[in-house]
Amino acid sequence: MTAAAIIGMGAICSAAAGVERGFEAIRQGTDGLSRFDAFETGLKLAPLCSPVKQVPGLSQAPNRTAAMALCAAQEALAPVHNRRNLKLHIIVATTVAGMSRSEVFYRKFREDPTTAALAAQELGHHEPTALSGFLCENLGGASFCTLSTACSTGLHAVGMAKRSLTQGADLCLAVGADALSLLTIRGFSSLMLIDPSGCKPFDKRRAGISLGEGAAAMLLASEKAVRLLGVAPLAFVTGWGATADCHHMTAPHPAGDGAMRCMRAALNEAGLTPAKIGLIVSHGTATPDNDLAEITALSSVFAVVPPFCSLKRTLGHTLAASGILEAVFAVCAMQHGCILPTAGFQQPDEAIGRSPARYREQPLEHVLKNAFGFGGNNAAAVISREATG
Amino acid sequence: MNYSACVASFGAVLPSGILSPEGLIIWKAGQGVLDVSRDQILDKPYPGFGKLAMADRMAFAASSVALRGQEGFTGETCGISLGIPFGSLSTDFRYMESVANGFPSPALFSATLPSSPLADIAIFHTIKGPCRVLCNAAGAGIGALEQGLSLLHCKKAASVLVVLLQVLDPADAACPLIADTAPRETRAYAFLLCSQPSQHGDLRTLNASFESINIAESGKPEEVYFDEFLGLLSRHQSGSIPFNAAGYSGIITIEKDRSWNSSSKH
Amino acid sequence: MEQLIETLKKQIITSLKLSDVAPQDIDVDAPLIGGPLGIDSIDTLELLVLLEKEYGVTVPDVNVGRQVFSSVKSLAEYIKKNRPKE
Repeated sequence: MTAAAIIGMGAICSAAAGVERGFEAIRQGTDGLSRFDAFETGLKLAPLCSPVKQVPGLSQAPNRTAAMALCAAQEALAPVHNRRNLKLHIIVATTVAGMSRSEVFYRKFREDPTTAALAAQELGHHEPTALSGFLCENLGGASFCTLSTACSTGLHAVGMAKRSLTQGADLCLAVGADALSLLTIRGFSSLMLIDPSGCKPFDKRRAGISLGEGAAAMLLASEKAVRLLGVAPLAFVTGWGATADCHHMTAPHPAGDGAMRCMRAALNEAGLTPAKIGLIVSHGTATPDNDLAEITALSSVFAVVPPFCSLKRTLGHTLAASGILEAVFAVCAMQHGCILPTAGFQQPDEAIGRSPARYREQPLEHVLKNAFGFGGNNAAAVISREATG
Repeated sequence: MNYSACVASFGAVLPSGILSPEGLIIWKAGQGVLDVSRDQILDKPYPGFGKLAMADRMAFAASSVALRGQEGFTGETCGISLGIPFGSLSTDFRYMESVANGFPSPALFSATLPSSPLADIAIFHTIKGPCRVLCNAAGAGIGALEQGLSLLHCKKAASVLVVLLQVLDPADAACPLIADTAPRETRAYAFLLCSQPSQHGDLRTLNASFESINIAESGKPEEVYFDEFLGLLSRHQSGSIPFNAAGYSGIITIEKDRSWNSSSKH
Repeated sequence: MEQLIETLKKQIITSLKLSDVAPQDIDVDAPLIGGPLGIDSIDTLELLVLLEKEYGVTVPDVNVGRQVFSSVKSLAEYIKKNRPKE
């Protein structure tokens, strides 16, 4: 399978709108968490989250997720001034979609059933597929497809975009977006997965996730499209893998079985030995289970574990967006030649036996990105500076 | 894009009853699709069956019917491709209700994920390969079929379960908030596709071509195509089904290169 | 206490939607989590909701939780000890 060229990227997260500014916050190891106050959560103490402070175009978009998705998508498409009649396929990853708006409306409806008259308008963009339709319309897309596999969806979208290029498509935009919502805040809270003092990836004291919101996009192009458009690829998606843990609805396989298999699959497809990977941008959600399982998996795949990091203290866990959002910053790390820090990490955990790396400059040829979703739905991608042979 | 695969088995839970290669079992008096019981779709006990949220239970039921007698379908080389046109709308409302009541339900929350049926099927039937979920409104099933065939074609899996799920809680059918375009009936389809014929069970060959199109127009409601597909398989016939769904247009062809050996008595 | 245990068994079956299980099938001394009823960690969280809703009882942390949910009997004892007096 040939590598897919990445010719454009876009991102919006709590740190900033825009890839370069977002990357700066990542590079500095910024703590992106603050006490959530955008709306009443009903919890005794609102959790620490990573909200986007200003969402461009919010009033013109059907909902928050859509506004952020469009913002990131437009940035990713910017390098291509003239598409030269190439068709654009759009693959969208989301779990929240219009829920952030629907839940507000639902509460109004409970108090006043006559508001049902507004249902079509308020709930019209509830479904993930409506988000894709909205993007397709605004970006002049030829077709769209909507994925939803929880926290691994973003990376699934990248993998699917890569695959569609090998099957005749020329331009494929993978977009991931999720807004903060009462549903996810209360949901993760009821599963006791939120760390009240903020996520601490790989840290001995870690006790759960911190939620964030954001969107990211990657524009992938075939060889033919790269030539025709006269653009220089930023990097290449050279390998991709996906597996199922077959274990539990919300807890990962303790030995990281599914994670290990999908990393191996990604490396195989890229035609690389593990030793070639210079940096791993982990899933690193900071739950006691995930971080241990993930490092166990890494230790099985890599005889010498390369430097690894988690970006979730800076970005929050952006759910369906996380796979792509963090992959975008993995590309930046390769472009800038540096190992990324892990904000929130202080005390090593003997049970894990390894610590994430500190920031340093280092040329990188290949980076691995992991994303693991609820239900044991795993994805991994290898991104390289050059298309491997 | 053209694909070929073998259809090893199928299962469907429909308003008319439970359909499998053995034939159609109609519902008992007073029983409907949503009342499907564990013993109708699974031979071994499964205390967790009743716990499954509606969408999960329907997908699980259809998948279990399709997987009956297919002992080889397990492990790392097996994947699942699931199409849900409308996410989990009914469950979303149930969950919002539990939040509004002050007691958010953890089980309902994890069921609001469109991918939660995948986990239930994968865990019970020990499926460890690639799994994906498409929420393409009017074309989710066709999209899931394309994805499933693609997984086989790219050798990411040797066999794949393609599932189309349409679920509507009857309580919500009366709810003024549910859009007119949401499904008004619950139906679940599962097709077991393999890249190679298996040692046991007789197979039909499936050829399908897909062309990406702009989604705006859709031909017939998707379930019409899948009902035709089931019809050809059940009647041991060859045939072609041109389709025009959200996202793709193309044609599904069933060929009779080995006849289906059904154990039902004609 | 016997009454509470009988009621609890029914509530567990209902709240966790256990199928193929009747109250007389539940062994009050058998482990709840990971035991014969196939109860997992999400079910445990649902049981926490049940405790709070029906009995006004909460569980302060995961370690106490492990003890409380070790069997139906220990669950009943915890409720009896901690429920607000009427």
